[in-house]
Amino acid sequence: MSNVIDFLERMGASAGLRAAGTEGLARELTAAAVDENLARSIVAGDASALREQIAPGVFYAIQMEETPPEEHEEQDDEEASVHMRRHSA
Amino acid sequence: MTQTRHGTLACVGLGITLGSHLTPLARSHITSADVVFAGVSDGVVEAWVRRMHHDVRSLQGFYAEGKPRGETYREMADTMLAEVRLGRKVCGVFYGHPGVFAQAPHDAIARARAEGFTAVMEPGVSSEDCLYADLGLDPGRVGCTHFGATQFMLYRRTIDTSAWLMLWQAGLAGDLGEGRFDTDAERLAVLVDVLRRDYPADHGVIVYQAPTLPFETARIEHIALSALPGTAIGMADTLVVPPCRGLEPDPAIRARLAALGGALRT
Repeated sequence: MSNVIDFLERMGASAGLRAAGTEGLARELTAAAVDENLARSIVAGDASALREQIAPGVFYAIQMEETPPEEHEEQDDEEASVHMRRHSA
Repeated sequence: MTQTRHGTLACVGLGITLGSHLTPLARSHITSADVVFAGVSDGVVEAWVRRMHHDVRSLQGFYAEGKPRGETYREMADTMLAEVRLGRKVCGVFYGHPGVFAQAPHDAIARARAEGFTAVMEPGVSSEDCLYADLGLDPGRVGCTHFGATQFMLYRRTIDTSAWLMLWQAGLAGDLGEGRFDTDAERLAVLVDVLRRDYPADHGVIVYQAPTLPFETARIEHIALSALPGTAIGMADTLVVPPCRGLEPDPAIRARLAALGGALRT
């Protein structure tokens, strides 16, 4: 699996690979000895299929809560005191 | 004065697209750390982080359906800080920008500094950055305002409809802290009603999502505002609302500025 991750990293950093088209991409994947099923998913642009093979399961993409500030008063007070301590240090 | 203690924390951004956005400085923080914590949105991306360091610990395990997300983010910060207190060099890796719509990195850094540890944040390319490039819009032309979609619904905000409006985390629109990770047609219909106070029902809006993997393309779906409840909106989607009126000149301010300009010339 490591070579498909290395390939994706290389592709992410390469203007040529990003624009290689399906044939060019397939050639590069073969040259990099990427597993056939993984390569097929990449050439097809099927990210879901690739994820299912490499890292199946749910990944959460949310990192902030938007509930009302009054529900965070205690935390906000603590944060304010942290800032005060930092400024007075 | 707070004494500096051993143990450091660096919260860095990975950027949005695997391989495309990681800065050399962020990579250096990752590879030189004693331990790396990964808060990323995609299993393939997490596998990439694991290629950079032998001890990468996922923060995904703190999420759970129905669990208040504030608790999740506090636990993430607690976990990183526990290693800092052991005198270790800790790196928290977060997708996009670690300081944009991201609670745990800000909290962990503030708490680490308050305890006398060195803590830094290194920016990353965010969804917002990708959006400007993919949609070909410049926030400097007519202005741009940003809100979390749910907060936008819960509070009366003053909207400038001559500027762009970005509603982030649209895929959670209407969540009241029940620990949901999705939205539905009913909640999106409420969001439409809020927007209908200022925009016409047929106003064109855009559902946007930046590509995570380098062979993906951005989601750029143009729909009418009224069609939003019938549109599938995911966790990483953003609702982009274009202006619906032109900029309104302010003659009084223009006259004052013109008078100042005249005074300078004399």
